[in-house]
Amino acid sequence: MNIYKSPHRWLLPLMLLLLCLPFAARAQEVTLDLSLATPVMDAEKAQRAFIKIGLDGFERSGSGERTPANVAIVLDKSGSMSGEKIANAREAAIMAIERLDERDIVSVVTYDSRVEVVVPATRLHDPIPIYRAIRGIRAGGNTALFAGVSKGARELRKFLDRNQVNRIILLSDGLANVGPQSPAELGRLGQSLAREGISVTTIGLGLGYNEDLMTQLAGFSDGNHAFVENAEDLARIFQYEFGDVMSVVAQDLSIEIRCLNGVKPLRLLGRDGEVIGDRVRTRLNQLHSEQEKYLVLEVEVPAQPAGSALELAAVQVDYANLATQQPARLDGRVLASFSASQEEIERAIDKPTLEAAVEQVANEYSREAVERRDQGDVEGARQILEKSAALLGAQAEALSSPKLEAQEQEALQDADELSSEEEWNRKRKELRERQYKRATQQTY
Amino acid sequence: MKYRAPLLLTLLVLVPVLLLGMLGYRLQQQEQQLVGLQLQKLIEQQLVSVDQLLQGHFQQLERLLRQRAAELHRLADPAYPSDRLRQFVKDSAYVRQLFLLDESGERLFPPPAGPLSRAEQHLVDRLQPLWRSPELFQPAGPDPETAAAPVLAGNDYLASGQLSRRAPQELAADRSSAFEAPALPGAPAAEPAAPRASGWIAWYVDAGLMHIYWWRDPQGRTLGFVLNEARLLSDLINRLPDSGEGSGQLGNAEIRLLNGRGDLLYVWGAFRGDGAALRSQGLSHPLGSWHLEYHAPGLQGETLDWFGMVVPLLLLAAGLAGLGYMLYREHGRELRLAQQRVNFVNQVSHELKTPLTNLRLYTEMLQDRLATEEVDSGVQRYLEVLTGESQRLSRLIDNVLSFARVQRRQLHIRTETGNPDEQIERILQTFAPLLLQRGIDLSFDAGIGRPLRYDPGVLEQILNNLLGNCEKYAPDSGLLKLRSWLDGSALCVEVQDRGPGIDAGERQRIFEPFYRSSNRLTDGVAGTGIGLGLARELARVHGGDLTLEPCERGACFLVRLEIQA
Repeated sequence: MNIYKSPHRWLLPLMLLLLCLPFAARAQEVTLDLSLATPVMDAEKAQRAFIKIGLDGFERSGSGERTPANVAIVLDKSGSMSGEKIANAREAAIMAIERLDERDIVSVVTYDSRVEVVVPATRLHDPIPIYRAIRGIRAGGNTALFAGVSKGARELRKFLDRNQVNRIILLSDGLANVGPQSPAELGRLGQSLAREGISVTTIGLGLGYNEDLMTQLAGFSDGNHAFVENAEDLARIFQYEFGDVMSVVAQDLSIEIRCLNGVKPLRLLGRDGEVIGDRVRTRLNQLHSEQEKYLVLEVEVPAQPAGSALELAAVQVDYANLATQQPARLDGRVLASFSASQEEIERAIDKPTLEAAVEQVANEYSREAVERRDQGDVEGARQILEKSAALLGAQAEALSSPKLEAQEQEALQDADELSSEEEWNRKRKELRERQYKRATQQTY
Repeated sequence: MKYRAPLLLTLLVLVPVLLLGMLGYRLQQQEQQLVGLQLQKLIEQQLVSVDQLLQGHFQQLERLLRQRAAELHRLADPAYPSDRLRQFVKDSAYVRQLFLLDESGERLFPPPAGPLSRAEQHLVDRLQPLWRSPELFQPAGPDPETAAAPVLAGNDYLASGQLSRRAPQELAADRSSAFEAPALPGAPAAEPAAPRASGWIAWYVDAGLMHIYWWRDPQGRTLGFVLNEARLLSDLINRLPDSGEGSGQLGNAEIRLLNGRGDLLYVWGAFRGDGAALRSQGLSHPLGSWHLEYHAPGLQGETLDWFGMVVPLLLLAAGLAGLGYMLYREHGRELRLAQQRVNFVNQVSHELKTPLTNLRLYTEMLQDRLATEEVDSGVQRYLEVLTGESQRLSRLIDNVLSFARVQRRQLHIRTETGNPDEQIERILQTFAPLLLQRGIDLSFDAGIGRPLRYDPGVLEQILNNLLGNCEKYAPDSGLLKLRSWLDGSALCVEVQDRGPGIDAGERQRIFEPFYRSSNRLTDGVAGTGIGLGLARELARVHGGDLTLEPCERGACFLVRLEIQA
């Protein structure tokens, strides 16, 4: 611990400061933006409120500056991938790798019933042998998805570093049938990988994959998820994904929300969090340049007298800043005031926050609808979606938000297309993808 | 008898070939069994090494967790701070949940009073039964795994160099307090005081397997680490070879890792095929319910090298058959040659018989003529010699011809009515001069005295041979006694000399054709060697026998001939 005594400790930030002076116009820091959908609340009444915790990624200063990436591409080469699909996957992978340079590390793992490390983790000095190895991939066999992801993670671990983006990109078009195959098990693997700083992006190709498994794996590790119906679109998705990888500015965001003064946390919308008493903990793996990610927490606020003000919650965010390569901490508090005047309450409404909250609530409805539909209750699912559409419609009007209006249209369309048996498989994948993207504010 | 030689030859060929074939087959089978056993042994070794590989993971995990447990224990003052335990769970990639029991097995963490997260509540529901069975938290007896040699590379757990770089970050808080720990008066020595008081539990819940590492602190409290089983499996898989390495290590075989329900977890190796496993082996605790299966193309039952075995056998059979056939031809030629010789002798004997008969006839006629005239006694004696020699010659020829007939089974009995005593008398008379010359006196005790129906030719030939033998083998032996009597329906003649007799060892062999008694006796004695054998054969054809009777000195032969009614 002699670092703390060393004079370098003072020297380094000083030099950094000097270096940054030309770009000092914008701080190289994540901004924490706490807001309440209803900053002024009804007095003398217990009620629910939505707290939005927004995190804004800063823009990397200096052109060409970016965080190095450590990417493992895990490709399904089971029998169902043969033909066009595998060819597209190969080309998409190669095109995506072409965007990287020698700062980055790439590995390629393929799996059928066996797992093969086609390209062990390598720094990208000479991509030609890597392309050759990728072009040699042929399809055939079963689907050992779990083992494939495991070996991909092993390749990443060879150069694991918290100061780079560590990501597994998993492409699968079929059901895992060798090794663990339940969404819960894959989710737990994702959870474990997330704690090491590895995120898993899952790309479902065609209509044969298990969307629950893929979204769970992505969700627990805070990666991305995409549903690609046509193999020709793979190249585009890979481009998006690599763009996403290269724009990460902060990682390992650990968020702790402590509810104060008798406020009770009810649920975290969209994301998975741990609720213990008045504390809510969750984490985000990555934050991208100039992108906002947010959480919406629904809380119950006890009755308060008019004219009083109350601290609802204290929020603390710890993260790794990839620009400064230093851990950083953000703090904030959420304040609400209480009024008896309905007009005052309505005037105070924070429109963007309410919009975000409504979007997430509707997203939750959509999830519920899928679950209901899975149980075979088509009518119940439709009712949920209609309820969701009604909520969206009302709020769209109140907030004059075209975004919510579009979402309302979507919900109505979903309600219509719910009943078709033959279309359900595709529809479900689409819904899962949309829900996932909405909940995680995926960049693409 | 015609097929005896070919039969023998066939046997000669078949028996060794079959014997060799059988031996070869057995040998090859044994060899195959041996190879099979060796292969099984090899497979077992391979599976055991996989098991050890996986055990190695648990050993490393155990070291890591023990270290973490010790670090957590240093934070206890005296109670473990719940938020630190939660922080640990939140940050750990390997541990899914944590629990803490006091000395009496009561739960301390997750806190029994106070709010729990959903995951914690879930854990409490699942593990209630486990906490109620304190006997599970006993170190397993003499545990070979924990006592095993130190594990390699303890610090870079999971082969991640970068991870050690991470560790200070991850455990920065724990470490810093760890450094202060010795200063705290309540904190005991840093190293776990009782390293034995820890162990693994494999706990089944909802048809799933939970792996728990428990560690007892010096105060008797038990820390339990519930592993993230997906991560555990992932790490175990990462220890196993991938497809490329697997093919290199195993060749054309595959090893499958299966869990307690028989689900395939991981598979490596080049062989792809279904069917039963060549070998299945359970894994060691705490993966007790899992097992490994070894699959490979089966030991071919058809690999018995038929071609390699049959061809030499066929060659051997052909060689033997060829050799046999050559021997057979040689033997046939010899036989034919011998037959030709015998025929020739018979022919010659036959041809000799006519001139000899004439010779005898005219000698006797001359003797008769001269008997009426007064001639020189010398002439008489010459004539007697002539008669004697020609008689001997005709006996010899008779013998040869009879022998040939016996060989060809063409000997027939021609019975006539005659007085055997008189016939014997006559025979003795013809022999008398010869025997006298050799210093043998004759005495005949005739005891039949009446005509009987028998073959006088046979009797004559037998007696000729016996007397001839006496003349040859017992010269100067004194009295030669003959006796005849009737024994029921058998005509018996006993011939007893006082010569050197016959050795006990030769008693049987003297009747064999072409056998001649020892050199001492045969020195200077001529003979064909067929006499006694022929005599006995003749007696047997006549329904009787010729036997050598025991007697005090000399030889005593008894002739029995069955007479016709």
